[in-house]
Amino acid sequence: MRCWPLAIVIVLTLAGAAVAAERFPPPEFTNHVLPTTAVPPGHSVLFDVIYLAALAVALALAAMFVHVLRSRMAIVLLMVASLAYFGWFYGGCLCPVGAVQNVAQALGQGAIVPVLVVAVFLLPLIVALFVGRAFCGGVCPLGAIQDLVVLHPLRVPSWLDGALGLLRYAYLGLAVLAAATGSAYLICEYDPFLGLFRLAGPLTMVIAGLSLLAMGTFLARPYCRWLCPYGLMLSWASRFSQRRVKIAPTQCVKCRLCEDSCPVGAIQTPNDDHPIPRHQGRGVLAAMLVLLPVLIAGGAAAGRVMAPTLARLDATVRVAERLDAEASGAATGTTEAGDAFRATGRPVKELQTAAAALREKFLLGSTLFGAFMGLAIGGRLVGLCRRKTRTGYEADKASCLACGRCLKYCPVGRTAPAAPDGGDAP
Amino acid sequence: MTDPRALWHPRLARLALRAATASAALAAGVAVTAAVLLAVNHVRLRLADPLDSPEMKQIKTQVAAAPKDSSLRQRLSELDSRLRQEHFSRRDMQTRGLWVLAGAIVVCLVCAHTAVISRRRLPDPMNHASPPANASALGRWAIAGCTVLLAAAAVLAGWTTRPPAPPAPTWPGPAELAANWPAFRGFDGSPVSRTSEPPTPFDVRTGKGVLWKTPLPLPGHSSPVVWDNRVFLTGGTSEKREVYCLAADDGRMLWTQTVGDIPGREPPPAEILEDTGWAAPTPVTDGRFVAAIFPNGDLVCYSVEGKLAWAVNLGTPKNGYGHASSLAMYHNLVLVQYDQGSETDGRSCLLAFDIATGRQAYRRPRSVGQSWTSPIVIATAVGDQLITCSNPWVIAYQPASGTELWRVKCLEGDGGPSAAYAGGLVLAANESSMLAAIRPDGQGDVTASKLAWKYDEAHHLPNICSPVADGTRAYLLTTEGMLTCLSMADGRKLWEHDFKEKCIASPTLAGGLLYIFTEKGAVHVLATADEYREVSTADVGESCRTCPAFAGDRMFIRTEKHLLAVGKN
Repeated sequence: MRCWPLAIVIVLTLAGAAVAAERFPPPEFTNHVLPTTAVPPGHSVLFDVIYLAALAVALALAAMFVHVLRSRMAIVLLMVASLAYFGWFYGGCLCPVGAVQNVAQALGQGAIVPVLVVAVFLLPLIVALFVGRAFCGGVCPLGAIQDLVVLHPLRVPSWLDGALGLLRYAYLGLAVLAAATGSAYLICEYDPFLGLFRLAGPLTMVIAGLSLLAMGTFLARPYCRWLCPYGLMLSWASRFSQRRVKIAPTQCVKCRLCEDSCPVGAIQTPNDDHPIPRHQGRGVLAAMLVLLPVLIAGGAAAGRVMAPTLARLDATVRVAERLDAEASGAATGTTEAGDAFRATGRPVKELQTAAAALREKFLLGSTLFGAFMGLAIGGRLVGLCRRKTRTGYEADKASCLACGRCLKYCPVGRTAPAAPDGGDAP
Repeated sequence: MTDPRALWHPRLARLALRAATASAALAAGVAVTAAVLLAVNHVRLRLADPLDSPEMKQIKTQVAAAPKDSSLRQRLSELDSRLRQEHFSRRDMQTRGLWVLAGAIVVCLVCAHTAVISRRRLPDPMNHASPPANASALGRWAIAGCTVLLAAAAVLAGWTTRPPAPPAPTWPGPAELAANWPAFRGFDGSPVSRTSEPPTPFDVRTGKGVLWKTPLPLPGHSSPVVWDNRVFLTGGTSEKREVYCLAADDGRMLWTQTVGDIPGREPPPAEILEDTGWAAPTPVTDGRFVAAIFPNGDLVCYSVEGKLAWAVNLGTPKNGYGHASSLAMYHNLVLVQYDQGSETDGRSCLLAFDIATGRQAYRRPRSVGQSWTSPIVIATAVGDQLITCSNPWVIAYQPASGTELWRVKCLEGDGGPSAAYAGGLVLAANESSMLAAIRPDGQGDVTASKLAWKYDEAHHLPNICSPVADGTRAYLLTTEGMLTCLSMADGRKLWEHDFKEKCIASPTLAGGLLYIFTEKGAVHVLATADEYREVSTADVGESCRTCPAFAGDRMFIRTEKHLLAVGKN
């Protein structure tokens, strides 16, 4: 099953349409009548119910294909279907990845969140609590479009993979901070694939999406592994899952084919002969545990220092600072945002008051964000010191994306084809 | 897993591999070529905006000058259509190119994938390198490195977000401005000289107190401005416009600059009222540059040594009497109150230009019609403000950005008198309306809330001369020569005096004395008191319609044909 060429055809041709969507003023001295702008009606409740039902069914199928059928082909088919339905048909929105921000805004500002959004946010997390990241494997359109273009995946050293994984924490923290203060929906604004799904968007967004796809031919699913904030939350949930992707249906024969097949380095190797003595490991673990609160405190302090910078995520703060600079002579000329504010006729003091209130919020939020980053770093350091004995090859609960490649490669339980010369098949 | 090649005949497999590799290479070449062509086309699309075409701009200018010329409109329409066709054909090319690019990439990927499959060997997992023994330690070091990078980024971000230290201002401070006379009626909206020894008495006919008298090449109603040892003013006719610089010490003409051709200059106004003339607006100077504006929309700026810094044409103002509004200055900005047309045609605006470079800092539309008042910059308790008057509004702006702060609806008729500021009150007056004393600390329309008092005796209200005040008393001078003194506390009339002579020049205060110039050239010097008291009189010997400039203990007066300086010998 090679579905990815079809996906690439669709993606790239749609990218052309996205670039071409520019605006142009009406002609001079003609009788050209501009068409009236029509506002499309909102989604009906039925539409939302269908979406939710489709998500639930897709999650159930993904879990079944990974844990029961153990079929990579079925997972690929589900990926294509999800890409078509959740990606292009729904334009990539609503999606659980972006729903993180709705929930954060509701918690931070008391905003009302539709039940559908809450359900979309929670459903994959609940599923992950039981069966791991089935959403990432077969349902998420962002993951699917990347998975279908994997051509020749290179192995990323685990130390580099772990360091790059910190980006997800930063992205999640920033996204939550921006949404909780009502400033921005960063995940949606910087979703690299949204332009491809919606057939429109800034050229930079389309280029970013295509670049990630190009990178994804050699570094499998880069967005999922190092950027996706919702993937991070799913990895937390999947740590508690009862079932992990079971590579060998019976006894692992340690052939290492699964390790070779996994494009995201999620296969944990046996470590019953751990090279570091237990007492030495304990010492390092104790040091890391001591370091943890220091990192949290340091992160909080760094976050506090960054608060004025992060406050600029909010347009109100940016416009207020710009107007202040113009008034003091530090900046000459005006900006479109400043002009737009002036056109409202509202007093500048009102803007400055709102900006001051937002800065206060960011001061608290940035401090918490910094503490969160400190906790994340400390937590990963502690995690690297934990010793857990494995006797066979296992899929890591947190980082396994449930794509099913290892299932296809695992020879256990398969009937070996007869060799032409009557010998054993390789 | 089965080796795919095992299912094929070896020769067929080799052939497939070669074909796939060659096809991938060919498709990659096509994709790269298409990408380059698309990039070039994209840049051309971005750069060649039809609306920015010089040809289009030129013809639009011509259409604006002759809006009823149907042939011009037809040409513009045809040009517009042609440019659009070119633009959209490029866009079509872009779309087709993207399809080609997409197809080439897909073919490349399919072939590359086929080649990879064909060349893939069975995995030999037993020969894979085992994870390094110190993988955990490496991981910790990597995370530690990231932590350092993040901390550095946080510190850097915190550092760079600090409000930058304000650059050392290149513009003169209040003390320098007060020591000179940089704009029409001084520098802070109160035409009051700080000199302690006003030049009185003097007599031009006898030469008493006259330091020098220099003839001016071209006529004009602009007033002189002074900086150190230089006096600047303008002159003009329908044929040419000039800027003059004279030595303040001896009246020597240091340089004369004739305004040359300015690209994009629109045709001059067909007619300008003689009373306004071709050089009515007073220039401004900051000691480095001098900027001047003329009724055909030419805005020019010279260094004080007379070298042209920049010039721009603002478009011919639609002004029935001719443009007369003088320039104002705030920090590094030259401010232009460019009122014209009617309040509904959207032509009036407030403009700001960097005095050193001519770069337009902002343009704020004004919903007012033509006017002849000059803007003033004032320093209030709530910040600096730019005050403008135009029927029916007095509008205050933030001078740095042009943001409107407040407005008061209190004027009627053709606006001539400019505002004045003293004692914390903005004074704005015009005939057939009132003298309004406004507290400048409001926001929005403050007509109902910020009017401290008003004075509406019709025969005391000016239609050309601007009011003047010293914080205790305000003075109004009508064109007919009626001078009225009011209390600044409540607007109560203290006294009035009829000179029975036509007065065009606005009254000016210097050293506790009030200077009144009549059109015939008589000068009345009055004491500022609660009763009318004339200290001295003089005669400049010629008609005088301009405001004097004061610097040090000297006064510079522009008469009909001369510039003269009076003071102590």
